[in-house]
Amino acid sequence: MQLKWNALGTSLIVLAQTEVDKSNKSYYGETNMYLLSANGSFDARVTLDKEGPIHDVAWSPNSKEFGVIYGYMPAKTTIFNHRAIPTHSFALGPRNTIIFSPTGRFVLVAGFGNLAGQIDVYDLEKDYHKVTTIESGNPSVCAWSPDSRYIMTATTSPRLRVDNGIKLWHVGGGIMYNEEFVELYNVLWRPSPPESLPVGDPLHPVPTPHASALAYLGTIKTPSKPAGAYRPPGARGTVTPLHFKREDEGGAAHVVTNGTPSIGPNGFGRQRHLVPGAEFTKPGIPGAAPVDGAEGEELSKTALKNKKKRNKKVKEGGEGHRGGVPVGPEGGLAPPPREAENGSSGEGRSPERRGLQHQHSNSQSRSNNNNNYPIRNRSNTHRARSQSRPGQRPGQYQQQPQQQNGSPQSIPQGGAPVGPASDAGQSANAKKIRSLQKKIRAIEDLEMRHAGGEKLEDTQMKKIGTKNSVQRELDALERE
Amino acid sequence: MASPLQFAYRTQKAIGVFDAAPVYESLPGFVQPEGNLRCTIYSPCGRYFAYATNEGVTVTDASVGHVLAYLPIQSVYDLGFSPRGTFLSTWERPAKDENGDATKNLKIWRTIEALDEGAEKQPLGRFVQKSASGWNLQYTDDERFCARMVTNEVQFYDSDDLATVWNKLRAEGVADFAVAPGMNRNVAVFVPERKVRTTPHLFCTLRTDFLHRANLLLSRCSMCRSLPPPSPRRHSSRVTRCS
Repeated sequence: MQLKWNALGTSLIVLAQTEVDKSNKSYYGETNMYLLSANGSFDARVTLDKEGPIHDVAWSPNSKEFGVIYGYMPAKTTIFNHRAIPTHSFALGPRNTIIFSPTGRFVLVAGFGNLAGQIDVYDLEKDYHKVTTIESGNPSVCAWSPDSRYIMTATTSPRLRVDNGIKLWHVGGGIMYNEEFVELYNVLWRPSPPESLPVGDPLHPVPTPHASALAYLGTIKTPSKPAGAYRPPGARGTVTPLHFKREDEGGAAHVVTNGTPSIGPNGFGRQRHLVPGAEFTKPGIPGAAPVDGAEGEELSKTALKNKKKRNKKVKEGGEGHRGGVPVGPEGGLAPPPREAENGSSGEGRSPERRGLQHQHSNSQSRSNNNNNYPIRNRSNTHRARSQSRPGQRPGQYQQQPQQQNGSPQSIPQGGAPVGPASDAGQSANAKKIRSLQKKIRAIEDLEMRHAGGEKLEDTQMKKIGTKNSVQRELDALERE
Repeated sequence: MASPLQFAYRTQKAIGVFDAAPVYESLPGFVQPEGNLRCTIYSPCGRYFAYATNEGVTVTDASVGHVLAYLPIQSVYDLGFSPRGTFLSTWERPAKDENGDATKNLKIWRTIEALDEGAEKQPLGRFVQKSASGWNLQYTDDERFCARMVTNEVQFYDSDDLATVWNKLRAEGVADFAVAPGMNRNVAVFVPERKVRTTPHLFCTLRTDFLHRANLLLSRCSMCRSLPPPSPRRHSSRVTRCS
């Protein structure tokens, strides 16, 4: 609650803060501002065109206008006339302090406290022309000199116990004086009646700075290139997305959500689409977009290969291997991915369960697939899984639903049942050949050891004895 | 000759007065006090500079640094000048005397006065002021009147006679007030709305010409228009006008 009279005592600004914010957006409560004239001719609530708290209000010494900083950061600074009509708005920025100079010619708009300590100085007599921006560090005190030529900033204790000191800046932006103190508590200008002030343009001539100011300038590092915000390695070298930018840098305005997601219950899933760098092209509408020919074929080839491999396994592993798996026309040819991966059998797992897993792994395209799952037959699902097997590259996930959703005829695996069957016979032979070759190698190894004088077991001797029969078998197979 | 810009600072150990542009040197005549220093203040007119230590309050001439007055009162925590520097207020830590009554810890002094030889400076007025915020009197710009807030009232005094209340403004539950600067002699009073906690406030602007006994004129609170329809009781507001 603040009552601020203007210098003439004709108008009063009432800054009222409530304990509770009705809109529940801030636990600091609401701030409202009212302007009253003393003779009762005028009273109004000052309407501010940006949502958020009121950071600062100040009367100009001329008693005819006042400045307000308001709104969520970056805050807006507006000069109003004595009828509460906005006359000028400065650019948005992280600012929370406005002080008119005692002569009323300048106004400084600064961001202190948790802000970066920049001070913008505007010349009100030159159409709000910006004179300079001072990087003042982190002062806790900021005050105009009575003659409006200097701005004093000071860092005081106990707000900060280090870097305590006083700096004087010329209104033109140059530092004039610097002194460091141990635990500075308080600093203030000596007030000066207006009639004793020197006349002349405060901007010119620029006074010569004190030696301490030059020393200070020597100590500060040349401003290195601003490092900017941290960018994750994946995002380096790219432009900051708009939704990460502050409003005055081109981003969207701050919206208070108060912890409740404004994007509905499924907020997480949807937000993920906004993650920069993750360029998830949304899968096409079922059946709508035809698959890119080359890619589709390539994919189906790899899928085919996989299927062949699995076929062999199935054959060798015996029929009992796939207990619970429903055997559709192709279902048996493509065991579920987990089986293939872990070598464990799928027994005891219901197909529905596996279907669910599949859905999970495929969550990126879930939104589009959701409707199709119940309808699609299982064999189709299995095939889809087998396709998605080789490498978990996300690109394939995207491809996949389109294939699934395409008409069955267009799926190249249509002939799959025939191919793998003959294929399986061949590969069974090849496998046998390999195992026989291995046997022969082992026997030869044993023979070498025997020749070397090593004493062998009876079984080993027996094995050596089988060499001829094995060799014959191998020759017979190779001839096939 | 215009005196150079000057500022004063207070650190852990010392108080300094420094002439800034164009000379940049400490005020030669000012003896830097050391010790436990509580507060420093310039008078709004810039003529005086006062500081408080544990032992007393010292008033100096801000232009040259000489000591003008010394008040031997202890544990002064805050100081305040009237707009033209005629009066100095001191606020001590609230305490209790032997009878358990609060001591009058707010004292008003005439900054400069001709004293008889050996006579001690006596305060113009004393009050009990517990709250450290808004403790000081509020003066009109010409220093003729001053005002002070007590429970449910704003009391006005003739600045030369702080013993008797010259006029008072009854405002139930007043939380804050502000005497306007300038020659208009206005005062604004803030009365927060009591019964409804969520709806915030009730404003009254109170005009009063201190020279006449103010007539209280009831009128609708200007602020209520922006609030939900007020019940007449709660939103009674007053605009006093000079007769």
